[in-house]
Amino acid sequence: MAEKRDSSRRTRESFEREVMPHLDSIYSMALRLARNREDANDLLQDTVLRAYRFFHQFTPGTNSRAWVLTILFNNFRNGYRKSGREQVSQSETEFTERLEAESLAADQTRTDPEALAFANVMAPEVTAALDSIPEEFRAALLLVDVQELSYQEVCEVLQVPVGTVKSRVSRGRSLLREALLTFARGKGIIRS
Amino acid sequence: MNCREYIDDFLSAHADGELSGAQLREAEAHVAGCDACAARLADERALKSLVHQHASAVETPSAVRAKLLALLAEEAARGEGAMAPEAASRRGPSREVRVRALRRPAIWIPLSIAACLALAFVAVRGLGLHPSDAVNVVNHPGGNPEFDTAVAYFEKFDHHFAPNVPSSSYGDISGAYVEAHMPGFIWNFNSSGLTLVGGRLDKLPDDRPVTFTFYKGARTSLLCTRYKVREFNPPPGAVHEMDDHLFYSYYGYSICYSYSPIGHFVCLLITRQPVKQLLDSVEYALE
Repeated sequence: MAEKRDSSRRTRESFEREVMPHLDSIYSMALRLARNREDANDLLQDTVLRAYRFFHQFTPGTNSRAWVLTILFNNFRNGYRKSGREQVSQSETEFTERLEAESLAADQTRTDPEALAFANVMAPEVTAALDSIPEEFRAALLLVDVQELSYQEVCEVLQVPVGTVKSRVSRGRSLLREALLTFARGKGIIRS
Repeated sequence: MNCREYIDDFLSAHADGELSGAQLREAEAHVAGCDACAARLADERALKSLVHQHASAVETPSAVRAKLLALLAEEAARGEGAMAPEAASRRGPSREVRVRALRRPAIWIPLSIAACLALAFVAVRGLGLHPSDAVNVVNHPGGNPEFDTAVAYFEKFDHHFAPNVPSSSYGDISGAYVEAHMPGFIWNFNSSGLTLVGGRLDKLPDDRPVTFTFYKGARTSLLCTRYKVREFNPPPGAVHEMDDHLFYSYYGYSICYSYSPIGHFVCLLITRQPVKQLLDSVEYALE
């Protein structure tokens, strides 16, 4: 009995050490997938509990964040995608503004003047532009650009071939670029 | 390696640090000798940086975190943390996955944000928007006025299409559309045997700006129309849905209807091809 209790304690400690530091990353991805807080909270909770139950399947030394994100995407595909269509429980603008306000992102030093100018003008719209592109492309971009996973890790998370990851990233950036250009046009940035 | 090959096959992976060995050397050599692709690579990296900066971690609310920790403690107390593998396989996450591969679109997109910013200062003269010549819209009883208008324009342009964008290149047409504050996506249906004839910037009878991009094949033709809508209300009766594209069979025509919430533009593809063929054309163009 004592042995079982010790084993359970070690599992929990190991889990908290490997997985819990990534909680904000996982929550951010849950929000971006579910796009409303209530579903994101449920998705996060289900994901973390499932990760705990299956923690014996995690291979120490591999990327634990990628491993939990795989569970998150499985959960999302199986239970949280409604009718194949994304559900938005509040306006896109309201949602993205709130996320923007809560972003923990550090203000990165930029060296590219055009990127800087674009970012300064477009900052509030970036997340809205991201949300406007189809889910498979958005997911690939978020996993590569935000979660900083390799293509190989993304192909394991999304369970698609690496060639598909590559094309989704490429296509996603093209769509995002076009969405940002539309914002730029709307704000008169690209017309004198 | 030429620019097309670099952009299609290497650009994103290059920006993401996913190239190595011979591929990396080949890509680096191309960029070193090509200013346009070097700018495109910088643009790709800028986009990466934008996404990273603005979509990064949101702090988990303390109440959510506390609840999770409590649930984990309960789970641990029940001793379920180290579930036996056979039980795990019964309760584990489903392995059913959607493996539908969406592939690179064969559409031309303005070369780079930087290039498009530069476009701001290059006025495209002589392309002022004017109401398109009158079209004979036949309203089908119980039909859709938007589709009826599209049919009318298709018939008009199928009879004679006179581009008013003075180029038949994908890049020039896209640039002209962007300059006119219209979407710069240009479908490429080459793989379906449809060749780009040209583009027009016009106004609909109700004064909304519109782009017409016309394609011609050996036995068929296709018109791509883009304009703004106040609200997206896709007509009922779609016979097929692929990603965000709805396909309709409409009085002898096939229509593909899609919508971009950014800018509130609709894209309407119309042809006399059967729906299946239009579906294939769109799917191939997305390859």
